[in-house]
This record gives sequence, C-alpha cells and structure tokens, in this order.
Amino acid sequence: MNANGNRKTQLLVLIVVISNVIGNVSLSHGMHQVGRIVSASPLDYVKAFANPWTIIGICILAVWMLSDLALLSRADLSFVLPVTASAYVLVALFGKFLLHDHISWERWMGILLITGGVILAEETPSRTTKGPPEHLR
Amino acid sequence: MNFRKYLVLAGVTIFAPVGDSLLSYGMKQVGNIALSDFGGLLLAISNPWVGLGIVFLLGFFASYMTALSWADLTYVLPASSLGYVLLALIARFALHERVSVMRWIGIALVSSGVGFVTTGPEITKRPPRSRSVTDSPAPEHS
Repeated sequence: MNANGNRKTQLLVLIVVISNVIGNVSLSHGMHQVGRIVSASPLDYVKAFANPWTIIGICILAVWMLSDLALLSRADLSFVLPVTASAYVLVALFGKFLLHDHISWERWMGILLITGGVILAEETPSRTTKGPPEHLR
Repeated sequence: MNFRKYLVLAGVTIFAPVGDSLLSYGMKQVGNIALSDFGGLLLAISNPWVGLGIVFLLGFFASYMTALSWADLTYVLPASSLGYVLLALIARFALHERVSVMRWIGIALVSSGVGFVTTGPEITKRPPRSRSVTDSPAPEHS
C-alpha cells in the first residue's frame, strides 16, 4: 500500500472510531429515554424512532457503517474490527461522564482487557492477503 | 437477567460478526470504493453478499436497540465483544485470512474482558426521574 493510500486508511479509521462512539452514546441515551423494550412488538420500535436522540444516533451510525464499508474494502476484516473496537475506552469514558453509568471495577477490568486485546490485534499488517483471491480475478 | 435478555445479547453478538463477514466477502468482490463515490456504493449494495450482510446487520441493529433499552451502553458494548472470537474463526476458516499469534492473544484478552464485564449488573440503578435535565422534583399529578 502506498503512502497516500495509507493516509486515506488512517483518515477512515479516525472517522470510523469517532462516529462509532458518538453514534452509540446518542443511541443509548435515546433508548433509555424511550424505555424498556421487552415485547417483540414493532410498535415499540416505531415509538423508539420518534425520539430525536435515537434518530441522531442512527444517522451517525449510518455514517459509521458507510466509512466502515469503505475501510472493509481496503483492509482485512480482522484488522478493521479491532480498529473500530478501540472506541471501547472512549465509550466507557463518555458513558461515565455523559450518561452517568456506574462503571464497576469488573466493568473497568473487562474494558481494559478488551482494549489490551485490541491493541495486540492492531499491531499487525493491515492486509495479509495479497490482492483478490484467484477465483475473483 | 432472564433467558430472553441473554437471547437478545446473543443476537447482538452473533448477527454483527456474521453480517460483517458477509460484507467483507462481498466488498472484496466489489473492490476499493471512495466514500464520495455514490455509484460505487450502489453497486456494492447490489452484490448479493453485501445485501445479505446488510440484512444480518439490520437484525443486529434491532437486537442492539432492544438491549440498549434495558441495559447500559458500557455493558452492552463490552458484553457483545465475544463476537470477536466468532469473527476470528470466520476470518480463519471461511475467509481464509491468516490470523497471527498476536491476534489470537488479543482475541483471548478480549474474551476474558467480556467475562469480567458480564459478571457485573447490566444497568446502573437510578432513582426515578433522575434522567430529567433539571434536578427539580417532578410535579405531582393528582
């Protein structure tokens, strides 16, 4: 991969991480306002879509999904998903200070272990397969 | 946590990696596209693997929204990262990607992290109406 392509990939990674965190926090805030969904009734989801935070969260997550799609077309899946998961700690911090979640020590331990796993998985080349597979050429 | 809630969490965990794998497979067929290239994006969606992947991700989204309605975001997100293990297995055996030792160790760490998170309660206990923006008591309705 050339330098320009590398920078594009890095920019995509940045967009993926930021839209992931903001979209999730917004969606979570909205769904907590909507209230518990326990039935499988579609009416509950219609009600959920009336909440502005839910709508904003979904829109930002759509941006996340599109940038994730673009990233998936450039790098291995097993590189892309750990990258997006580096948002875990950011989500934990936003959850604590914005959503006022109580984060127990078990939760912190879990989040830190997950992030550690993410960093290990990230320090590998972004593409292990050379070009498209034979049968796709 | 009753059985139904675990079922929803399992939905979040399974739909996401399967959908992502289908997307990854389809997108490799489509090739590199830019975010600004709308024609390319439409072409991508018309690929059957990409389409199927999107259907799975819609299923993921429905169960994800349900889970977020009764659990904290900081619980749902780590708890569903068990999908990583599934993902590594799919990447290794279905997509034939090489999964390095470091990635396997990373995946093991992620899994143990999930173990820690799921031992705790899934939602922060809050006093009623604490979610309102102002702290003034809600007016009583007689």
